[in-house]
Amino acid sequence: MGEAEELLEAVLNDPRVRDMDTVRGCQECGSCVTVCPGARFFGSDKFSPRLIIEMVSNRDADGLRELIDEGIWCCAQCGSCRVVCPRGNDPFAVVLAIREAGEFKVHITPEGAVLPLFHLQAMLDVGTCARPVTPDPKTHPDWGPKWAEIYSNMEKIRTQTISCPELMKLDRAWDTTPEAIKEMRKIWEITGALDHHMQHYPDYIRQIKAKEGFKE
Amino acid sequence: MSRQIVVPREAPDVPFKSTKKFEEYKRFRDELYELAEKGEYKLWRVPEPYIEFETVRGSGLTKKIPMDCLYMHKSCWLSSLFTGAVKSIFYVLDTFGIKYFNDQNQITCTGWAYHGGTACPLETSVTIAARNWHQAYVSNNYLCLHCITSHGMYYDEREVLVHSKELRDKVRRNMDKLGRELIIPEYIPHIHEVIYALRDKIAERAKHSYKGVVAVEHNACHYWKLAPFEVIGGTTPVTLSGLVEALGGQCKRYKEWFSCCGMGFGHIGWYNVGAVSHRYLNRAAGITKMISAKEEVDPDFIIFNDPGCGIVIDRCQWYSDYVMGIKTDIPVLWYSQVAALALGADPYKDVGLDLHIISHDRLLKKLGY
Repeated sequence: MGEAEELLEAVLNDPRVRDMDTVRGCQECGSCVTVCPGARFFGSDKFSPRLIIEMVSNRDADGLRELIDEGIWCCAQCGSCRVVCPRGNDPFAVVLAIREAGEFKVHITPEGAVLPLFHLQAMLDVGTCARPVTPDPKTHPDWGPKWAEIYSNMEKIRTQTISCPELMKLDRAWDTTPEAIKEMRKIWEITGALDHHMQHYPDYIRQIKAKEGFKE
Repeated sequence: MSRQIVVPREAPDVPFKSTKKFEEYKRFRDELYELAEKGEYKLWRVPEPYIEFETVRGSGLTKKIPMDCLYMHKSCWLSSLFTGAVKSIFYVLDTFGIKYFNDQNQITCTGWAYHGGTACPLETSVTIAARNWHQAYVSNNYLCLHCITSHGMYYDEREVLVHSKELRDKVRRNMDKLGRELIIPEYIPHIHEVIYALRDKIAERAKHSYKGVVAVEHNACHYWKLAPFEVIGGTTPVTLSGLVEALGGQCKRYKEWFSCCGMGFGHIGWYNVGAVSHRYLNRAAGITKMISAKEEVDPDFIIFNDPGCGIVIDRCQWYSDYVMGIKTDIPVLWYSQVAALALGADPYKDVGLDLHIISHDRLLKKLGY
């Protein structure tokens, strides 16, 4: 079986597609395309929720495989398509299934869509998806000079002005306990996600495994 | 507290309906209770006191919002970048003597990673959700979310847990390994719904009125587009506009009110594949919304219920002025900040307005600060 067929099979077997009946006969009304920010700002030739439903219902394996290279990453995961579809189709859930199958089953995620290391570290080292210091003005010049000013005074504003004991650390969104982080890592280990990221960040994952006593 | 059905204010119907989804949701609710009876999991019912709101008007569907002993399920981005919005939540709850629990053992719902689809698979995310639900359950406080992405994600994950026996069995096994039990919440309330439920009480105790203040709203997609059957007002959510109106202000519609803000989980520059950059999407969609609001309404502020959307809108407006010379300057406020300002909270020490880019000076003057 080629990777395109493997991808299609994984998508069709995803519980969000298989068990929730998210793909039904599309009546080609295009309601989903009119509300889709991905289609609106990147162009419907690049991404169209209508075409995604069509590809899955027509079992178009090559079409899906091509989407992974660029188009599928246009989706903003807003769910506008879900609420407008008169047939009750759910392109939002199908996109999730395609991205996940591409990464975890067929291993064809393009480099620019792989989870960045700093993001993985936020989840596995401090237990939150973001940190106050994440959007550095050097990487976010489009947030303007006021943001750079706030960023350089972040600690002062947070600790001296808005004193809220639970939210005082700059390296995490809130003060999580070591036990909670341990449990987070254990969930990633028992569900196979930790092993999966070995291919992207071997040194970091090895370090976690050694620290927690997980077998490699 | 006695049960009461609160019917949301009249609002224009949105021009779409999926009857299939409606029937599916009713079947899902039946199954949710049936499987709990069969012992597949423990159903976590909303304890008293609660208020029961009608969701989609005329559908007979309702959602229970707990009004005491709330488990503060915090948001990664709100707690990171808008600490004042979180402190405002505590300020409002403290004002009305509502008990809440801030748990340091809560971990992220992984929403950011899940919707990227390249970080953790469904099974990992659902196990983390079930772990957080159980963590809240054993604290004897009912789940109450600060984040809208958690709201949409938990709603979806609960549905897939009910529909997929295979996934349910896997998650139950994972929970056993953690020494925990599979608990599924009956409803997934968000803290802005609690503040909406308190709106008349807030108005009674308000030190600052919103009379003469005009707002626009942005209801987060992961609130009402993902879960319309568990949204107060259904496909015409009333929680944000209802709060502003109860406090004496006006909340006006603008053409782009439906549109996604373009957040797309790209604040941090993730996704640069070919010509696809989510930072571009952030700016393009955010600016388009704000131009529409400025030209049609020229509001004093825009009210949000989601951390991510507020960040995009607060951050993108400088760029539109810098690059295109289009000055919108619409200040951003979360529901909790709106309520706390009405109750007389300090705009900086409590509400944290100095963490925002767009200035609130004009609004504060109108409010009498």
